[in-house]
Amino acid sequence: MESSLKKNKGMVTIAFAMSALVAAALGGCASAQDGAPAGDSPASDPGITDTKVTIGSSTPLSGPVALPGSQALAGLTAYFGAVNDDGGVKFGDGKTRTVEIKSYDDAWDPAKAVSNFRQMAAEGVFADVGSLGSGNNIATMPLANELKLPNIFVQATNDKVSANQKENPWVIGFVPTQRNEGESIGKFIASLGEAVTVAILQQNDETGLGYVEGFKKGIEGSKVKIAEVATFGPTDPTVDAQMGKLAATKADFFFNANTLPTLTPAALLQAQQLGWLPKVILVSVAQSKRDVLGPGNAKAFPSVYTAAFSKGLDDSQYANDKDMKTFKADMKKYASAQDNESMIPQAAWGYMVGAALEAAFEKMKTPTRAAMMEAIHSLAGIDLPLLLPGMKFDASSLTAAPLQSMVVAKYDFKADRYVVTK
Amino acid sequence: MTKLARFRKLKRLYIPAFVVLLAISPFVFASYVNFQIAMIAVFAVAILGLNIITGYTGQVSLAQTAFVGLGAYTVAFGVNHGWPVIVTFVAAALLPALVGFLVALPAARLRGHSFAIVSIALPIVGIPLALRFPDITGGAFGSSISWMNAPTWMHLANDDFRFYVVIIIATVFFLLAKNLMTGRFQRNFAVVREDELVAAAMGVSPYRHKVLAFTIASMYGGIAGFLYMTLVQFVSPAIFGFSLALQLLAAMIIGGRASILGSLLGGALYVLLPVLIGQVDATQTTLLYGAVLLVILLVVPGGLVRIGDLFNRFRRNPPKDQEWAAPVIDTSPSESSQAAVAPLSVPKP
Repeated sequence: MESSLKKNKGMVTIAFAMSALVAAALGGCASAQDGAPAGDSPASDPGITDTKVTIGSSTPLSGPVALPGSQALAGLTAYFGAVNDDGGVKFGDGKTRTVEIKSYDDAWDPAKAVSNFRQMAAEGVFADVGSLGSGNNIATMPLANELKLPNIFVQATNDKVSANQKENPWVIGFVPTQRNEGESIGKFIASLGEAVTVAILQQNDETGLGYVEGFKKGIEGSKVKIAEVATFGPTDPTVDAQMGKLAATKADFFFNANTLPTLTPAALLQAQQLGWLPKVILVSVAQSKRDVLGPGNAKAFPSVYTAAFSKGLDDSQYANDKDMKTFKADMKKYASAQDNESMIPQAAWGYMVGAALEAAFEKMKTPTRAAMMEAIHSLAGIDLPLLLPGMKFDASSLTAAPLQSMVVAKYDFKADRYVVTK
Repeated sequence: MTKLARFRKLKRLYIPAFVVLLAISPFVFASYVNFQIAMIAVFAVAILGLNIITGYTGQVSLAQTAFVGLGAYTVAFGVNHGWPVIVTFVAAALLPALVGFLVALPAARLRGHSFAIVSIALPIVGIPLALRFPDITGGAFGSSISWMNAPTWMHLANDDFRFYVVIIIATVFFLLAKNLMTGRFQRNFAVVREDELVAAAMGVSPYRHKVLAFTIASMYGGIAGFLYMTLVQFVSPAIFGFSLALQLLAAMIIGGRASILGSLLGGALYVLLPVLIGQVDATQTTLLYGAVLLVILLVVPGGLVRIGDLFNRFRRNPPKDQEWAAPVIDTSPSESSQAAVAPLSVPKP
């Protein structure tokens, strides 16, 4: 008798405690509109008033890609921090609005991303902006359609994000895809006009395949020949066997279609041991001096190339660049970036997302999500801060990301930095 | 006696109240709230499975996400190949159970930490396997499906239909676990957890019971995977991430070991805590998450399911110690082994 009484007391307490927990966690959202006024031509969509627009950013702020995710958010925050201090954005409908950013942590987990996306809809956020990562954003694509909540300027290198915007009208990417990058590199080698051979080390997944397919497209119709493609699994401990196979071809170029900062230096060292010293091409996510060039003793090779689309943050030639100075000052002031050393390119990309969104807002005729998507697609050939010279932002395509090409940069060992080749 | 009657009355009330609340939830709350409730159910089922092998049987397992992932990938495969929903469900439950059974056959011969280490291997193997067969798994970027839409005759929104599917399946498997865990099996599992030699002496085969518990846990993992796909409709190798495996184990311990209700609380904690923390500061989630877990474990070491004890402690007339001490069956193996050793090590004056 006594024990059953005790047990019941406990159960009731727990039931109360649990209801309290649920209420606390969800209370804020339960009362908010649930994507309600998304019907026929509303006067304005949720998240936008005459003086303010509230955007969300669901991005990895913890977990394995926490650093790129939080840097992307910091860049976006810095950009709109400065804009708000200047009074806000003058929208296409004549009203000036400040931009509020609500951040959500998806930990790079698709389930959390889906949950956050629904939360944003429930909390009346106008759009999800500048989210980083492929898997988490592909997971929310059907929801964007269902809830008519835009997920714009996604920092993902996977083709799926921007490839079919007719079917997914609320989603658009931002940065070039692996295919874009491979193609830019292929075109660069083809443009040298020499009959050279290229040996490729390919990561055996969609990422690696994207680079290689893009590369093949880039060299189409040129004198460039692919001597050999060796594949490896992303979890393989070494690539020594593959490098042996590639070295045997004595190709002029070595294209490292490999995103792993651990296996890239290992590949470079193995090539040196085998006495194969080709010109090296590294992909943009595994090219840094600290993680790749130094440990891989890259100075043994005649030249090292990589692809880029934004100005290098530690590149001394841009130290006095006006955009770069403003960016670094804004990062310090609005995103409390402690020092410039720890900044990575994703911060600059987040900042560029802010600039692109401001340009879209300026063209937006009515305060609706549909009008914003229309305004985004009308942005063709505009400049963004920190974009490399010669590159333009073009969101008019319904089958590609707004930034579609990259520029090839060569490492200057004397100056200790990548320099864009003319 | 009046007190007892009052609590009996309350008990009679809260289960139907809970059921009614869940039944009307889609019509009362925003779809986001219903989504979160359903997500709690998904992870509660996964944690319940984990509780059967780790909480009830005392074998620490880090493999649960592997079975959730296998179940989810099975669903993705089934949907992409046009299997009927019922076949998909059975496959998503039985395939992980089969894999769990085969792994347990050799693994159950190990004890304690060795078993935990073997279990780590499963999620670790999951990632390269998922990447190696992109035609089946969708590779690094995962597999997105669109299914489980409400039949037109039901006049339900898809979200509401999925909510009911998840809640009903989760409830059925919670009831099944509750029945299984209140009788011979609970006693057998507990004795295996406390002392394998004693179990063997009592005629309870530790090996067979460990295999059985692990197989059931795997099946629950697979079912959680099915429910996960009902809600999220997307699976990628991220599901095999090591941190997710650890978080599930942490949620189980904090919810309450060897407890059905504890599994539900663990699921609620796993889903809601990040939401709560995100509202405090989205940029410091890991730090705050760790801090909250630490505080909970310090305040209620037995897990959230024992939070009632905490209230008892503040009562004016606390019951006598032995009355609210945890029953033997609920103590963890380490505590009990210490208790068994302690009297021997105390020197007589």
